[in-house]
Amino acid sequence: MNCPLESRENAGQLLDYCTRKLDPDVAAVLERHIAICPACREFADHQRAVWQALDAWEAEPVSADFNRRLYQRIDQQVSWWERLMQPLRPLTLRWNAAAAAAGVVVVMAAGLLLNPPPAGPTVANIPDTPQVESVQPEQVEHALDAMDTLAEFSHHVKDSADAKM
Amino acid sequence: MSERVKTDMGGATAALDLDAALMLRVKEGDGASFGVLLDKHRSSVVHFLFRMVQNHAVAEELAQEVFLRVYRSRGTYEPTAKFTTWLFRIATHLALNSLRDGKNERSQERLDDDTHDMPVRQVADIRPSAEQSMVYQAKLKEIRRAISALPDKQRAAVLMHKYEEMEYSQIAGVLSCSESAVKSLLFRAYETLRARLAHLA
Amino acid sequence: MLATAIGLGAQKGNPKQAPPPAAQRIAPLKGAPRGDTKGFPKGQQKGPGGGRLGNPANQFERLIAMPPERREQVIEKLPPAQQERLRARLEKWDALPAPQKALRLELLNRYASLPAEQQPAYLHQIEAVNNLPPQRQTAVIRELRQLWHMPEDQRQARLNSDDYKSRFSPAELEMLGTISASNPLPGR
Repeated sequence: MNCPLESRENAGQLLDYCTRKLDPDVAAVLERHIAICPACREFADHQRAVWQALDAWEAEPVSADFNRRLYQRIDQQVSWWERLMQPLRPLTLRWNAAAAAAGVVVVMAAGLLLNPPPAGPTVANIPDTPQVESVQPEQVEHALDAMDTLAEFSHHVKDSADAKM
Repeated sequence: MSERVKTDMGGATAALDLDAALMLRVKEGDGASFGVLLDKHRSSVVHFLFRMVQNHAVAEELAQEVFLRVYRSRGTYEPTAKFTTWLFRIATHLALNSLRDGKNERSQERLDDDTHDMPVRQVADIRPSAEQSMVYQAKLKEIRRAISALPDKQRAAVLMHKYEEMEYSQIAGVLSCSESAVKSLLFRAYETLRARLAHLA
Repeated sequence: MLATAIGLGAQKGNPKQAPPPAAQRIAPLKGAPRGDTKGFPKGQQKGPGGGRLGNPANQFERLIAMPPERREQVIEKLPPAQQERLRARLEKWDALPAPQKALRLELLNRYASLPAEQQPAYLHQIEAVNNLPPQRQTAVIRELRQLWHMPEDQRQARLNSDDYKSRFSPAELEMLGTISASNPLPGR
């Protein structure tokens, strides 16, 4: 067979051989070649060495409170619309778009009449002192979220403009 | 390894990977299925992100964002690709953004900071000697530097290929490029890594 | 806060097969601000912007303008979990290079100058674009960059054209319609 290292396309075969992803018949042919080709043998040896080295790089375990923090963020970011609608939607109910639209209108109207959306979040009961003012943390976090989203969008638009140049 | 299950979708039968089936249940409002997906993929996402950005705190924060986006997208989820392809596409996208923005420039763990790199799992009766520990730390530093020196997309491709054992086609789906482009990325990346790391074995 | 589902995996491959958006709870932006360009309304960039939601831009700018000790006093009043989260995010903010901070504040203020009831929908659609697969994202952004410079009647005609309907999914059309009404980016 031709030496796989003669072309990049075929060199990928050597990579697949080292990861044992080659068809057994093809692997057998390649193995016979490697036995007589110093360059391919060196490639295979070095590739195995790289993988052994990478195996040594262990990642730390995930924090024990990862899930709790995530669910907290999800809970914080559920909008007041979804909060209004949650009691009407059993978990396993398939959502019917037409019924949903009608239900949304009714619920939102009822919600606005009976339960006006809160003007601000959780620190309203903490009295302000003359020296120390309070902020609404949800608004600050909303601002940070909005900035992240808009900045990412800005990057994409810039990349798009740069690509045209 | 994905498990193939059959499920009905609007009257038509289709083979889905199990994760995609779970995500469809999340779409229907089944929060428990989201928990299953989270528990199943949390570690691999965090570890992938850690090796991309080389900062554990940033990696966890990015991973939180990944799953937040998965959750937010539940309403329009369609299994047009494997679930893990979609998941890692989001993760890679966020990691590349983070690297590009230099968000972890000041917070990136210094590559010579050894305190985070000790392997957590140590069998109680086999403790490394001080010398073994030093050798290990030196080796780890070289590995991290070699990975860090790869261009971002090559880095992502190698990490998915090596640690997630993804096929070329799936890596191509994550990176939105052709399989031949993935092979080219990997070839160049491993060429660089062989030059820098082969002596460590 | 960010409630409505955003299409992501759906857009891979043929956009015409993308499903319609989930039951729509938030009305998209209709119409455009007066003016030749699709920038945010002049004279409103520092305005209150928000009704019942307040103005997040003001809250945030007040907080970051405080000296560190005062900022800490404010944060200490919050529940512990919120304290921890806010501190971590503000630490990230502090670490940003100055040009990044300036850009983000500009983006935030332009966004905050939108009418409050339009802000959630607008941000949802921006995020939806961010989450598109790269080829679809490029296609949508390419159109946005043209739509932002069109007169209103031309913009509407383009959005309702058969060409657009054949090239973009319903979810993508919603993104185009909402975001093209107001350009969030400065200097365009």
